[in-house]
Amino acid sequence: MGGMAMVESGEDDLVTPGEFLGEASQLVAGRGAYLSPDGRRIFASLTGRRTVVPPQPGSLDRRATVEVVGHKAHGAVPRPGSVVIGRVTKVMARMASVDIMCVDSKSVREKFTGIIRQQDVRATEIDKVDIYLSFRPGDIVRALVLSLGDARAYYLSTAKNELGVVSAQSIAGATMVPISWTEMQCPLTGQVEHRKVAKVN
Amino acid sequence: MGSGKIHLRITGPDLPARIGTISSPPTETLNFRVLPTSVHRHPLAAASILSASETTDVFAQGRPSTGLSGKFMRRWSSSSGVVFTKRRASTQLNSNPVAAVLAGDASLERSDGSLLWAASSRFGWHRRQRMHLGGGSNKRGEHSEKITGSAQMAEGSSNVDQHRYVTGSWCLAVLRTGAATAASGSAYAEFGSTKVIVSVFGPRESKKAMKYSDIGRLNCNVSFTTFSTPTRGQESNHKEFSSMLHKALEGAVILETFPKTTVDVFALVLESGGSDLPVIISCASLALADAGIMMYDLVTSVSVTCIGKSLIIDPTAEEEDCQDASLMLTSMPSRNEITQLTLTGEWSTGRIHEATELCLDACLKLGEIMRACLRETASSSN
Repeated sequence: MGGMAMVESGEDDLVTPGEFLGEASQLVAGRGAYLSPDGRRIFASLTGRRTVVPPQPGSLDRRATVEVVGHKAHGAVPRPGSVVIGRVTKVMARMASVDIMCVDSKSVREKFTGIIRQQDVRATEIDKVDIYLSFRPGDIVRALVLSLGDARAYYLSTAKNELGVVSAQSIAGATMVPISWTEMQCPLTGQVEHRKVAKVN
Repeated sequence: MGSGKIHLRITGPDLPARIGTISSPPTETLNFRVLPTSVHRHPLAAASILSASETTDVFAQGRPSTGLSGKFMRRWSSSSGVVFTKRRASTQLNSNPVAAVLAGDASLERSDGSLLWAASSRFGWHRRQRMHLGGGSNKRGEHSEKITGSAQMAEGSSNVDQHRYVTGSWCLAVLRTGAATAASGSAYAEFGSTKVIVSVFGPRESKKAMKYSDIGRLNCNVSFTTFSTPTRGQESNHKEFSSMLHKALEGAVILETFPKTTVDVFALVLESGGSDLPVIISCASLALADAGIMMYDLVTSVSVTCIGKSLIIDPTAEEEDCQDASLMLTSMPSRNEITQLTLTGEWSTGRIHEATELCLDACLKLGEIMRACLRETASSSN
C-alpha cells in the first residue's frame, strides 16, 4: 500500500482479507476490519472497498473510521437486539416455536429457530399469559431477539406494543384484521380470534 | 525489449557464458494440450492460452538423439518479446543449479551470484500468469529476488520429462470464485492436473446434537470423485484430509463473528494430480472469502517434495510417488504466520529450514494471485 492518501475511486481501493488498511493511531477499525494483536495496525477481514468515514462532529475521538463496504454479505444472522420476522411453527403450553425468516429487513438464507417463552409475551400480567390465546401455528410475528438462548433456539420477546402477530389467517383461510390489542377478526365470517397483536405503523 | 534481436546472457559458477540470439521468427511451433472447457471458465485462461499458443520453441544445440545424454538448452519467446530459457538437468545429477531467467522482468539470484530458479516448472507458470494480472501485481522496479534455498529439477526418464514439459511448463493455474450458485461462496481451482471445487454454506443453524458454543463452528468435508484417480474407487484418507483442512482454516477464520452458528465447507476433488491438499486449502480460503466470512487473512498452502538432493515445489503425482520426504506448509501470507506444517519421510534440520523458506516464498506469490482473483470478482460484481 502507498501513503495515506485520500480514497480514490477505481479498483485500487479494493481490499481482500489480510490487507493493510492503515495505522491505528489515525484510524478506527470499523465493519470488515480488525485491529492487529499489537494494537498498531488495521487489516481488512472482508473483500470489498476501503472506505474512510469522517469522525462525528464534537466527538472526543478525532480519528476517522475505516470500513470495508460493498462486500458480498452472507445470509443474515440473528443477533441480540435485532428485530426479526418469523413464522410460528409450534405452540406449547409455556412457549411457542418460531422459524426466523428475516433479520432487520434482510432475509435469512437458512432458517434459524427461536422460541417465545410465556414470560416474554407481554410486559404486563405476565402470570396470566395464555400461549394458546396469543399465537397460532402459521402466524407471522415480529419479535425482538433477547439473547442467543440455548443450543436449540434463540430467545425472542414480544413484550412491546409494536411486537407480536402482524399477520394471521382465520379458519376460513382469509387474512384477519386486527381490531384490538388482543383480538383479530375474519373479514369473511366475522369470527373473532385472540392474538397478541402488534401495533401497526 | 523492442523489435529486432533479443540478446540473452546466462552466467554462473558452473555454467559457461552463452549468448543466445534470435534474429528472425522461429520456424517451429509447439502445440500445447489444453482442455477446451478451461477457456470458457475464466477469461484469464483464454488469454493465457492465446499467449501460450504464440510461443515457439527453438533447440539451441539441435535435437537430442536418445535420452538426455548431454546438456541442452531450450529457448522460446512470446510475441511480447519476453524470452524464457530453461536449462534441463542432465541424466547425472550434479550440483549445477537450474538456471532460468525471465528477461526484462526478474531474475532469481543466489547470494553467490549464480542464477537460480527456486520453483518447479509448474510454479514457474504462476509467475507467468502474474504478469497477465496487470501492473499492480508485477513490481516494475524489482528485477531480482533473493532466495536462500536451492531447487533443482528432478531427474527422470524421457517420458516423465516429456510429461512434465507438456503439463508442467504450461499448466494453467486457474482460480475462480462463484462457481456454484447454490452455495454462499464457492471457488474452483486448477493447479496442473489437480482440479478442486469448494462450496461454503452458512452461517447457518447448528444441528440440535451440537453443544452450545459462544463462537462459531467450522465444519470441513473433503471428498474425491470416483473418477478422480487413475484407479477407480474411494481413497482412504478422506477423514485425514478433512481434519487437516479444518486445522488449516480455523486459525484464519474469525469465529466470533457468527456465534452459535455453523459454517460448512465442502471440498470436492474432481481430478487428483498431485499436491491435492495444498490446492484444497487454498481453494477453500478463496471460497470463504467469496462467502463473506470474516477472516484474518487468506490461507495459502504449498507443498515441497524431496527426491535425492533435489527439492521440488508443487510436485505432480509422479514426483509424489517416488519421493523420499515431503513437507506441506500452510500460512497466512500478509501476516507471515504459519497455520499448519506437515512433515513426512526423513528430513535433516537444515533441509527443513531450506524447504520451509521455499514454501513461505511460494505462499507469498500464491497469495498475490488469490488476491487478484478476489479483486476481479469484486470489481466485476460492483
